Amino acid sequence: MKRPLLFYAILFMVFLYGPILLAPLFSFNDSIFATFPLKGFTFRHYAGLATNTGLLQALEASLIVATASSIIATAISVPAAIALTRHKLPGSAAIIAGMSAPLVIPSIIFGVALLIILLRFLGVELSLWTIGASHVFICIPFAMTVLMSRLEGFDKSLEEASRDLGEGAWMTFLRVTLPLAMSGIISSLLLCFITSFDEFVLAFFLSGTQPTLPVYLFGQLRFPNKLPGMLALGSSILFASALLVILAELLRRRGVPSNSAGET
Amino acid sequence: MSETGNEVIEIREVFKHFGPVAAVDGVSIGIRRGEFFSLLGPSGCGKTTLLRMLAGFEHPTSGEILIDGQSMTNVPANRRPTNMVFQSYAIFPHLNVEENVGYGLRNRKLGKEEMRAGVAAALDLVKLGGYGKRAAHQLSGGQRQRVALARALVCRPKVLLLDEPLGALDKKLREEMQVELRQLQRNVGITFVFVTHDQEEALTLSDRIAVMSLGKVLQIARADDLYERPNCREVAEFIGNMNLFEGKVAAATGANVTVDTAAGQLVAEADTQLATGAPVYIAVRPEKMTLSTKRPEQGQNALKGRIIAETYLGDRRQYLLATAAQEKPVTVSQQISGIETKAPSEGDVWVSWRPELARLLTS
Amino acid sequence: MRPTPQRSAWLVGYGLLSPALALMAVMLVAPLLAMVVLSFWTQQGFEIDRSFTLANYFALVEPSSEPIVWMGIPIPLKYPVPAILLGKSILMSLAVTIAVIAMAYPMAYFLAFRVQRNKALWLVLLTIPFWTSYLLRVFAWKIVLGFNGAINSGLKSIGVIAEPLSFLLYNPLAVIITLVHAWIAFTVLPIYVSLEKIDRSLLEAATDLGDSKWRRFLRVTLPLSAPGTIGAALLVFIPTVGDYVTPTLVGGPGGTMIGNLIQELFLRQNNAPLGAAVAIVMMLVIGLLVLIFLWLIGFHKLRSRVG
Repeated sequence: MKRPLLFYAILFMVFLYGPILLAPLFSFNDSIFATFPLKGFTFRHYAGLATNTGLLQALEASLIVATASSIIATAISVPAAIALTRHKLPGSAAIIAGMSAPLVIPSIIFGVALLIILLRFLGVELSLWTIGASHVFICIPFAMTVLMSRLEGFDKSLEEASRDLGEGAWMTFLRVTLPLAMSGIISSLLLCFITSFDEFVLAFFLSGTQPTLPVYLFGQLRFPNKLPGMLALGSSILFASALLVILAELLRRRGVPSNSAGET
Repeated sequence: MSETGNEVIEIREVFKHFGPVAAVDGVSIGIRRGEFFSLLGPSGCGKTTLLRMLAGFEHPTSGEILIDGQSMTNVPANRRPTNMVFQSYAIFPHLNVEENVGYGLRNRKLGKEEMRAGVAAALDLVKLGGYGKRAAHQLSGGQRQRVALARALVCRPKVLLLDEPLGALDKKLREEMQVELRQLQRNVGITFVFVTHDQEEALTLSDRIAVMSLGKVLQIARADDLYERPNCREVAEFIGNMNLFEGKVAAATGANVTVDTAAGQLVAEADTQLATGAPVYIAVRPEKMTLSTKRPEQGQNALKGRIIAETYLGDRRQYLLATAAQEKPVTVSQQISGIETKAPSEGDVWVSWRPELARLLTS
Repeated sequence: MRPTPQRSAWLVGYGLLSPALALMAVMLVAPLLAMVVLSFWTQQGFEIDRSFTLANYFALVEPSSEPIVWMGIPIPLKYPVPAILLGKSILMSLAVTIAVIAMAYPMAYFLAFRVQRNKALWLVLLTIPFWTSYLLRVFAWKIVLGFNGAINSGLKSIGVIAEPLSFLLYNPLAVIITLVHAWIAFTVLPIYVSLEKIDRSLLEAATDLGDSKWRRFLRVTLPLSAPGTIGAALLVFIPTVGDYVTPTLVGGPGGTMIGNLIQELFLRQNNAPLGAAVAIVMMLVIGLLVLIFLWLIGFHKLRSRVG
């Protein structure tokens, strides 16, 4: 083997994608079992999804929660990211660390802790609102990472130039910061949307009568006869997530041409 | 020196501390209307901080800055009658050339036509007519610099601030831009405050130069005065080459001062009265010195030495001489005009200069 | 008096941060405090006794004269389940972390030093699995390892085995494999970033000074990428100790972890105060282990050296 690392990298990718791609594979298999050998190609598991009212309600719930929490999380993170990248604030390291907490602390702890405060201390009923609030929180580190790297990616003197040319803080934000950060904002929205849409543990703990899609899916996994339908559902979710990630990544990488001389 | 009323910028006793560090350490400068003024110094000397305080991006810890007689203390950057050409040029990457240049005009309540005309005139001024629709990333380094200039000038500032604007260009382009920048400044008649660490650039461009070091202004003078009459060792050594001989005043008769140095008694002219025994430096430019194989006549300062290195520089040849007087070799520069008579590389040579060509420095 | 510009800039900065800080306070600090408070109360049937007591914590360490033996180790506790599950979870997470780092590091190295073209494509390919549903990725392993799963039915259909292998699923190893798979994509990126940041001229300098490739790796590349790698390891270790989805789906009775116990205490056994105490003890133990680990390897020195 001339290039052992390349060989390893390919094996790595097979390990990474193999299990994930089994769900789409079996979802097209004309059988109610996820087993080899494959029987035949069919779309019928997908067709069944469209008429499943429980599923459609869960999908609707997920879309509402994911849309709302991605917008709110991004809206909170934009000013925070500006503050942390543009103002030299005392304590900013601690604030950044605090905001990354959802990445590190097991989500079961959050789920349980939120359950306690909502039910035992505040007496709030569980609903899509409680799920959404928790999702805003776990989206913050992703939104902050994307937005801060975007804001750090362009020359601070661009904003100074705008001030120098007569614009105040608010107009500088509108005319320079916002357009330059736009790719980051969109990619933050997309990534937060995916995060919320796919989130299971918090939604499981905090859902009331209305489940989100992952919670619904989890509930259905107990019934073997529902398996093919759930494989089709899972495959659809995987496909949609992958599409959004690719879009977000493209946006994040492209961004705006930087402030340096071109090749001409 | 200062002609009051004619100064567009007054910097009064300005200090800027970053934590315990004084980046600007008690600077007072008056910059005259319409002049090309340079802040020259090595990196970290506080010149950029001073410029950013003029623009309003940094605030003095103490002291005051006046522009056109008005205190700038409570005036934010966007309300100041200054515009800046940034070191990175800060061309907005999401806007084209025209939109970049017109950026500052948006606040002027101008009509569409007026704005377009202003932008076009500014682009013509920097020789970028017809480039208006170019995207920012399609511009070369030199073009970016011109766009940055046009964008600042179109706002008709009272003062244009330039933060090492030629630093990113290669040597040839830089020299071309120097000439153009000088002409542009004469044409528009706006006061330019130019920050640079390149002494040659400062000497070429400026009406007056402030030499800065460690947050302090060492000397403010015209380019020729700075070169011919530096007021201290640091300025003398920062601008061009300078030979320095340390000593003590032995006697002062009229303008001529005799100094005891390790190389014997040397004579130089002084502007001020100096007490006997005062520590001084005699400063002589390499091109003011003459090399000869024989001891020169009386009335000249002379030292004996050996040539240890020589450098050919096209229009002149530079020699390094080891002398018994001091560890640091003496630099002598000989103009090559007509047929060159080279100094012998073997044996002793004499280096000499007339007393009036040397400067006496007290610090 | 002139307003101090420094102070007003801070004010604006904190103003911009205030929504995020408020969210942190509401969603992080308040719930954790509530959990701490609850852990000092006790469950009496369906009621909560709000008098302060350490009973829940004491229950976790109450000694017993008849030790229960777990994996050959006698556990002298009256209620040994939390301690056993916590120990087991930590060991399993440790195994997961070591496996993840060992597998992710060569991949990150490949990306940082070997991939010239299409680097963005590799990166996106690595990123996609991380963002796709955790639940689905875990469930995928149930399909792979299950009694009627892909491996068993595959092997059976080509005649290697006659009967399905039952040891594949529902055990700690299945949990470990699944967790490795779930976290590995997340780990490659931070390691890759720390490798990518290494100034290439440092590597050339090492070669120039006589190091072989392997020695250069050990003396330059590895130390410089250590902080990023350790950070990535912690990002795997800490959350996996408390993982709940994986042991539930592929762990079976033998593969349960501490997260299952917490869920059980809250939702099934209706003993939230005890569950809160278990959750707090789990966090404290993880925190302590991480601090000891960082202290042992001198993380601060390591990081400041890398700069």
